[in-house]
Amino acid sequence: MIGIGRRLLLLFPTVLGVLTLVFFLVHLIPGDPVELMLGETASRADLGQLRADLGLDRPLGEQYARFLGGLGRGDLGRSFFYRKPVLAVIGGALPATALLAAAAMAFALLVALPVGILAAIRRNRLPDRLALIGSLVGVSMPNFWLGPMLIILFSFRLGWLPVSGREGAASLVLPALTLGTALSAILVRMTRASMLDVLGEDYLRTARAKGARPIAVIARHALRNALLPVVTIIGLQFGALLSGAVITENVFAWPGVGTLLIQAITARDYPLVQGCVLVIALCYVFVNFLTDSLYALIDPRVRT
Amino acid sequence: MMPPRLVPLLAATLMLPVVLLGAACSGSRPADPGTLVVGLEANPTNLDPRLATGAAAVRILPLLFNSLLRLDPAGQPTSELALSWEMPSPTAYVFHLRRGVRFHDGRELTAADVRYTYDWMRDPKNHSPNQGALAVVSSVETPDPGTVRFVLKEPFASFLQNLTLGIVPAHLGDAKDFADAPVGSGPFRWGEWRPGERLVVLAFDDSWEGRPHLDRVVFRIVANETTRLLEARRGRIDLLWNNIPPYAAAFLREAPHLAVTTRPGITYQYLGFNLRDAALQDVRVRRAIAHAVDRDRIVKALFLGLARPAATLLAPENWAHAVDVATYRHDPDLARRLLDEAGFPVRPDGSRFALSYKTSTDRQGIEMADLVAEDLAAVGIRVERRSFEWGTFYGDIKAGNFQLYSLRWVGITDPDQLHYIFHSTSVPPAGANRGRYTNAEVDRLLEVSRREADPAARRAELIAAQQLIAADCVYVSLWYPDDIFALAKRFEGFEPYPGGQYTSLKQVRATH
Amino acid sequence: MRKQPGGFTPTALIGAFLLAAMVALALLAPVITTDTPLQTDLEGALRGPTDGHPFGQDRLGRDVFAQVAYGTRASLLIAVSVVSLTVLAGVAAGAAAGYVGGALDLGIMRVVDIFLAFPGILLAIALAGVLGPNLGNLVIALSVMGWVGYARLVRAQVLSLREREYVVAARAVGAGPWRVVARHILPNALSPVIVQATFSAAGVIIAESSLSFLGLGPQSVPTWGGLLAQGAAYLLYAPHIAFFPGLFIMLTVLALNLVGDSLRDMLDPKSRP
Repeated sequence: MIGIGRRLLLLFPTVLGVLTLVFFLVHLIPGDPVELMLGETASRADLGQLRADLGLDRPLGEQYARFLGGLGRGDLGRSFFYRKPVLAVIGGALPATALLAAAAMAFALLVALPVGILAAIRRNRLPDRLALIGSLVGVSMPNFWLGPMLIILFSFRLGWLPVSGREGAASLVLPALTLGTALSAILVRMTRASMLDVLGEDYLRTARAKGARPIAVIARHALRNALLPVVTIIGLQFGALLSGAVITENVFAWPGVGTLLIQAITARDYPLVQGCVLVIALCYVFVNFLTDSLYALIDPRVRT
Repeated sequence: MMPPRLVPLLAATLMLPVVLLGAACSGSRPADPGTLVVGLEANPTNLDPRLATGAAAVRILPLLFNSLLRLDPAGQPTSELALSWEMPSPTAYVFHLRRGVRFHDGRELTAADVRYTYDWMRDPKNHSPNQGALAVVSSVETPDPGTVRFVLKEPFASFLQNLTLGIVPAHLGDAKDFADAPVGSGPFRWGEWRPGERLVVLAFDDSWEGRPHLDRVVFRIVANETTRLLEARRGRIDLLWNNIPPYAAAFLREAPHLAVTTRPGITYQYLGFNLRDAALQDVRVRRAIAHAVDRDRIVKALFLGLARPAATLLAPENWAHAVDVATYRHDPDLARRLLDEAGFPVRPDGSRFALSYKTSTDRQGIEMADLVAEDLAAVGIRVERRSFEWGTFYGDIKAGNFQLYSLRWVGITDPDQLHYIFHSTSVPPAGANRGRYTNAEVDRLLEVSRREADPAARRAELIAAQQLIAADCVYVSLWYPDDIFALAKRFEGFEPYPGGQYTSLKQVRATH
Repeated sequence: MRKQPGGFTPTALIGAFLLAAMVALALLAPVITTDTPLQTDLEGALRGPTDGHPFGQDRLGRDVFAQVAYGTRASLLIAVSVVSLTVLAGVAAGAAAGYVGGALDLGIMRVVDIFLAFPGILLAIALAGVLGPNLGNLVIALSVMGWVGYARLVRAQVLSLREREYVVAARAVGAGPWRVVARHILPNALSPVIVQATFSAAGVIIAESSLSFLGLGPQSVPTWGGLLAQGAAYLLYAPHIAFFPGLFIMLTVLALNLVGDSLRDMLDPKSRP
């Protein structure tokens, strides 16, 4: 329990670091949000006035302090372009991304675990070779290529699934498949390698020598230990998943945080960019925290 | 703690019904004759007409809001909320309002609402993007509920063009979340808005123009072009406009349920010069570049012929379009001679000098840049294309940090824009004279035309200005791309407006 | 599949051969194809594979085969640069953190965590915006995003090797920290790094294509990612533009993974599959 507490504490500096990085990064990108907001008819006076109102004319350090202060109060500021509180804007988009990420993860696990286990058990035989090829193909197809290919096949030619948008359960299938493919490819290799490690362990041979059935051996002993590295990898790959979501959301017109982030960057909507990055970082950090804790729970040998 | 072996099993049981349900639901729905789905490529960020910027919002607002005046398809101001108007003096405009116009909540629209809207936009506290355009207004008065009087600080011939802004109800406009569920008097009322995903507007039964034929219009935001086209082919999007690349027109035509129409457009595409640059300040160099570009080749290759050659900012449909302006036909030999004359001979390495050409990440802009670069290389100018993300690109050209760039002017119907773009005081941020062009005679003509009361004289002044601008080769005028729209055959009545507004949706009906 | 002791499996040989072919293609591109891969030919725009153009032509009629061949150069160059930079930075950081420990370790690992949690796309856009989109900046952007993985890896290795007998012995004899790390720890820690490097190279090639898709890639040289991005836009009318660079990306990634696998087998018998 102490371990969990300590790990929770370590989250704060990480998130703070991410926020600091994004704050300075975004303010340093060329491009003036005030000019973008008021258009080209604005006079210098107008621009100056808006800049002052938004606090953008203060020294960077002071703006940073105000930003942190606001955060402490739970206030992420108002989006320049939507002219609404950032939390409200992101709150509208977050469930969509969460759903997409969860579905992609579920798909990846659903495919990778059985395939990886099968590949390990039938090592160097046909299932293993196929798994290897499949995983290599899966990891080398970029989202923005795979997505449209799936759309053309399943939506356009076959008409089984919708092309894009978020409307009904069917519209989740292709985006989740697109986003989850690379992850499942990585997980297949990981699961297989991990299973093989475990299958070679002595205690398993002893169990089999004692006469336990192979399935029981696998299920009871091998699986539990094989899944540990997989759990860690999921946490690490979650960041890649969120990055991949940006492109997947674009291809499938999926209204999520990724799309919002890109729009916000283009519009130099500083509060919204900061808010999106905060949310993304929090998700990532939280998922890793979960997987680390899960790891500790599953394997009693591990203690931080 | 669940045994790990059940995890994949659980995932499977969760996904399976989802997939089955999905397969069951995905069959095509019967098409609703009262609902039209429009595909948009960008998200409207704000639906308050006092604050909205960005093409996406501006094009949709006329469905929700009425304005004093509206621009007809030829770009001329005509009556909407204002039945008639007169100018008692060069600086005063009096409008007589239509009576019986109701807002979506039932209240009547009066002069007080008009005054409220314009005063709000003029108030610097509100930071409205329209504030600058309304700076010429000194006061807005309402002598009675049916009359509005604008008093200007000085005569301004194009003032009527600024009165196309949507009118907001005074009794609701101060609410902080007004933009979340905007209330106007337009033919459609707000239905639902999921930012980034879709916007739904519903027919307003008590509209003074009569209830629209359609029950609802759904604006779906689909940023990815391929996805948008596939949705239209599948019949899930009924109208695509201003976001169809020329080569996609043929793809859409293959669909038996779609009708693809092309009309001449007024968008003006150009190459901009930085007139402070050492090489480009010489008009001969600019003319040489204009002669070097093979416009026909590019129009044929990139637009498949669907564009008209341009020589000036104002399109032929515009009342102030200048006919006799300098044109620069494709003539590489002449270009080379001009460059030699201007003092840029060919050097030992084969080139005369180098130029950087900045674009955004827009695909067509990049393709065009590569072709222009080839044309310029043929006369000895080495061009380096640099594409930037939009915000950076826009910032650079406003700051004058460029040599060549290309962009478009979309929906220019008001000739006063010439002042905004070519007058010497219009250097950003005060205007859009990004090339830092100065010509005293052009300045004078534009200033005079702003105050000119006589339309014929005004037209002559504007034409003279355009001729000077073309002779100075401030821009290389490229072309006016055609307007392409695809409409499902089960609907009829859509008319593209020059500014890109979806106004004609109020007339669209299902075909019989 | 029989394996020679400490030697190459047939699949590893395939991988190595493919890699060699890619390198050859990169070097010989001007000879095999043409000197001017970006030469337009508007008559043939979007045309599929023909005799003169085995991979077809793109939107401006440019030869896709030539662009794919030249793209090999860009991709390999980017992959090698990024992997070198990230390995150097990551190994240095990870070794320092693992060996010295204490506050330095905590500090470096926090920085690592921050970079892992940070959406790379934002960093890439920011860098491209500030510095301009070209090859060098792409390398910088990808390196900044990628060094953290190695830091973590090397730190874990160093931590476990730190207490080995020979290291303790070296320290007892009075060897300075640099010497201990450089001569005793790192050589043994490097094998997973080498393996990981081949996998990262594959990842870099994919990442380059994604950034080019967003318009942030190199502009005036052909790249696989740039072609792929163009191909994605014209997928409905000219699928060959996307197909061939995609194929080459896949083959290179395949080759790198096969080589990586066999390197792992050779260098670290414990993790033998």
